[in-house]
Amino acid sequence: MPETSVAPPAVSRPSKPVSEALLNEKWDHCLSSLLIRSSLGLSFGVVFSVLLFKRRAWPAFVGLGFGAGRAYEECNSSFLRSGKEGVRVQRP
Amino acid sequence: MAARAPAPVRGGNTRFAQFKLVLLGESAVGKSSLVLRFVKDQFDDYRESTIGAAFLTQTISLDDTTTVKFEIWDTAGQERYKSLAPMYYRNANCAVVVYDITQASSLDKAKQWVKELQRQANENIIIALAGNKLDLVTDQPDKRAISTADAEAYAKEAGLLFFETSAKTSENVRELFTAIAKKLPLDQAGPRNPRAGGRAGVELRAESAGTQGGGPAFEAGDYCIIAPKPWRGALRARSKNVPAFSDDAPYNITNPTTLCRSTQPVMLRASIRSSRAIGYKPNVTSAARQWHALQAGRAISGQTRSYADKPSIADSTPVVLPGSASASTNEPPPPGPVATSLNSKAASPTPSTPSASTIPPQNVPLTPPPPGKTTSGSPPPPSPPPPKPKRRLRKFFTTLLLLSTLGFGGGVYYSRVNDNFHDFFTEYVPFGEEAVLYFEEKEFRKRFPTIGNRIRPRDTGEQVRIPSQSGVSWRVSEDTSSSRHANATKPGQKPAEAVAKAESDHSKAPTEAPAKPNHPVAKEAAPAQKSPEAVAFVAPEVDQPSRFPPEVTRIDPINIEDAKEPLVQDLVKIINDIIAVVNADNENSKFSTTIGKAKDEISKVGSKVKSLKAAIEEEANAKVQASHAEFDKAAQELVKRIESEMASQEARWKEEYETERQKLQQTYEQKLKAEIDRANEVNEQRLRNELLEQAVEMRRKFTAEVKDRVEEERNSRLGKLSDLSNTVNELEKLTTDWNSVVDANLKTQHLHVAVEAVRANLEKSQVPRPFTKELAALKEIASDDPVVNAAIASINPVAYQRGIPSPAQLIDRFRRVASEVRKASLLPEDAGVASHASSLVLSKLLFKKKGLALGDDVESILTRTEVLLEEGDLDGAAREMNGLSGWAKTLSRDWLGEVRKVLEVQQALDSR
Repeated sequence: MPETSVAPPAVSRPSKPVSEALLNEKWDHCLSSLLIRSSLGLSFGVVFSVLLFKRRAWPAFVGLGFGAGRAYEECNSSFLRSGKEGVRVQRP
Repeated sequence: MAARAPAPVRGGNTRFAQFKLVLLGESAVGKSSLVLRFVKDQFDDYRESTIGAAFLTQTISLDDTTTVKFEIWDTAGQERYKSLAPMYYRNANCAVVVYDITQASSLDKAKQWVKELQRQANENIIIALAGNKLDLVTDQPDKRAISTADAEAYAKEAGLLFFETSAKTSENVRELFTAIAKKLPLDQAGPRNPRAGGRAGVELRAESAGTQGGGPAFEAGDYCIIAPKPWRGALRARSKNVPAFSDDAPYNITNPTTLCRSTQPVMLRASIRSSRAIGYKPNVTSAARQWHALQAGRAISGQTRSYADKPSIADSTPVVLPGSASASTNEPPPPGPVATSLNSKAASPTPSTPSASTIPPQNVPLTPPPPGKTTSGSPPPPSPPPPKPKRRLRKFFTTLLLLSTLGFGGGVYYSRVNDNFHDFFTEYVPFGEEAVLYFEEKEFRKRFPTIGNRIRPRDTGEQVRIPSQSGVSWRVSEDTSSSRHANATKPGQKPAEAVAKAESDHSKAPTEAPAKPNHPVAKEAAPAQKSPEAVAFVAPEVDQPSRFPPEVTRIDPINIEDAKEPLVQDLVKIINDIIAVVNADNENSKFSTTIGKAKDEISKVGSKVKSLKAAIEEEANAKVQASHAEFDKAAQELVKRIESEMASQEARWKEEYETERQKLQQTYEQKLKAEIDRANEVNEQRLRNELLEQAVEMRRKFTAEVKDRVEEERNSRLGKLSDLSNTVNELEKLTTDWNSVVDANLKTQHLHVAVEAVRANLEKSQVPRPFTKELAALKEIASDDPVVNAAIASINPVAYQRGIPSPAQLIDRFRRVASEVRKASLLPEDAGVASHASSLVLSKLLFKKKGLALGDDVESILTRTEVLLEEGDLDGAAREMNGLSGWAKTLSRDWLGEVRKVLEVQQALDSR
């Protein structure tokens, strides 16, 4: 089936993806946030290492760890939340 | 004042000069606008008139090295501010006299201003004539009232700069001020510091002398250092009950300089000194124009100086200045012992402390022991310790006492010199006030011995009491006024009574007066005869005539009965006075005969007067009677005449009354007739109206009857017509029934066709296509078929709006969904990120099943569904997928929805 024929209705409401793509989307989101947060943490770590810790390596790694950990946690919670039944508050 | 003078300062190459410029002219010629244009380069169309004056400054640079600052006083042109103008143009270096070229009167006013400036302002003032409102004339040349040539001629004649300007268009404004600046003597004023204190002082004096008395208020503020002093001194003196300064008005007014004591001379001297310092320099004359006022001031201050130096003109003592300008100056020695001591101290080459110089030698403690004693050594040490503290104490106290007295004395003296110190001293130092006052009073006494004595009693400080009932009160005093009124009003009415009263008063006085001396004389009569010496001794106390008791037969004062005439009264009084004098002189014997004669004469005169009076009275009575008779006659005649007149008038009135009555009667009759006529008319009218009404009523009745008849007739004929129409209607109904049957047949056929079309559409299409049109057609055809409606309603609106996918599409989509579902097939209940990741990885390793696999796991369900789909059993496939749970179900939700839609449509179409 050509994708173009499905496209018009999909475009009309982009907020809601088709159900089979739900999981993939989550994965995309998780990966991107992992990338962003780890790089942020790393950069903070580098700055700290330069400014405060005489250019040691470990602050950079600690920052990276913090960023990655944060991303992991968010991802995990998003997976857990969507799998569960019950009331879910959705922000506009 | 000093700041007003040009102040060119040469700093390196640049010159900076400051000039006072004043604008004058009639009101509403544009002085303020001109200045505003020059200073701020603005123009207001509506400008309020200036009040008083406005002050602005503007700095312009003539060339690279010269800067000129104008201090511009923009005066008010209104007539009521005219008197303020001298204040502003005084000391002005330049003036701009503005007139309005559209108003002839303004030039006249400007000429007046120029004249006044040339007469009263600075001698070398530079005056510019500015004809304003040039912009009005350029627009409309006929508006011009003063031609340029006239004004220019006048300017040339009077030696003025001339410009025609326009504040609105800024024409010639800057040129005007620049020309003034160029003409100002920049070089003439040499480089000097204009704000030096000495010069300021001189100018101050000069101005204060020039404007004494009538100076404007703001000038007073400028030399307030001088002016308030006398007031302050006078006030203080008054508050402390010092007669010397308080109660002598001429002293206050004529010579204020002496009243303010030493402060004024200080000012004077300072000014003199500085003026001398400058004035004797010959080169000052080069800048003479600025100094004219100063020189005048110097002349005046010179006079004042001599006056101030000599405290009073009458005083012949050599000139002694009341005080020096400051404590440091070595001016002539001030009076007083304290001052002299100070002076001597100052004169001594080695200044010693006051205690050292003034303590008497016997009090001086011998602190530095003589050299002999120091060498002797041991014996003294035991003896000094006991007296030492005493001596030290004594020394301390004596020094303290001396210092305090000296300080007090000095304070008293200095308080007489310095005014501020006076205030301080009298207020804070105990007994300072009394001491200072004492000295002040003493000095004043010395200067004005006469005034001092005169004023002395006022110093007693007795309280003056004013009785509570004194002063004016609102009450009318009744008791006293009543008797006075009687006296004042009655004399006209009862002259005889008053005369009698007066006579009695007169007669009483002389009779009583001699009676008094008589009494003591009678008493003393006997002892006087017995011992003349004793009488002589007593004589100064008692009356003189007591020495001559035999002559006690004194001349009696006359008492004439008919002394009613004032003439006679006077005579009697004179004689009585003479008698009294004679009695007093004890010359009775000498004058008794003459006085007796006089008495006789007077009594004769009295009797004569009486007889004359009687004769005159008789005559008068006769005259009065005659006039009475005459009057009676005249009165009778008058009465008669009046009576006759009255009678005639009565008759006339009666006649008039009659005619009037007749007239009234006639008019009444006429009115009555008119009224009756009108009433008749009204009645006729009413009757006619009634007739008309009756006619109208009858006509209406007739028409109603006719209408009724016509109606009856019509009803009977129309009944048959309605029957006919009913039958025709029934026939029509029958035909419509037939038509409906035919329609129903057609409709069913149409419906069938439509349903077939929808189905064909659905099955034919490879791509989901909306079939709303077809469905709408179907619905239109089966408009009142409930089954069709229900079937259509059961279809999800989304289905026909977007169309439904074909089975091939469904299978294709299922394959995609299945791959996703497979990834999530191994997830536990609460799957976190790790479980998801592991499920993703492990799902790749699962074995694929085939055919209708048994089992409840996700993989087998998926295979079964695929098989069912390929067989075309949509319903079964949907049921299988619905058995999934968790993430697998979530992922396949959309696909399931699609399948359900397809199923619904199929069902609806099948139900046909």
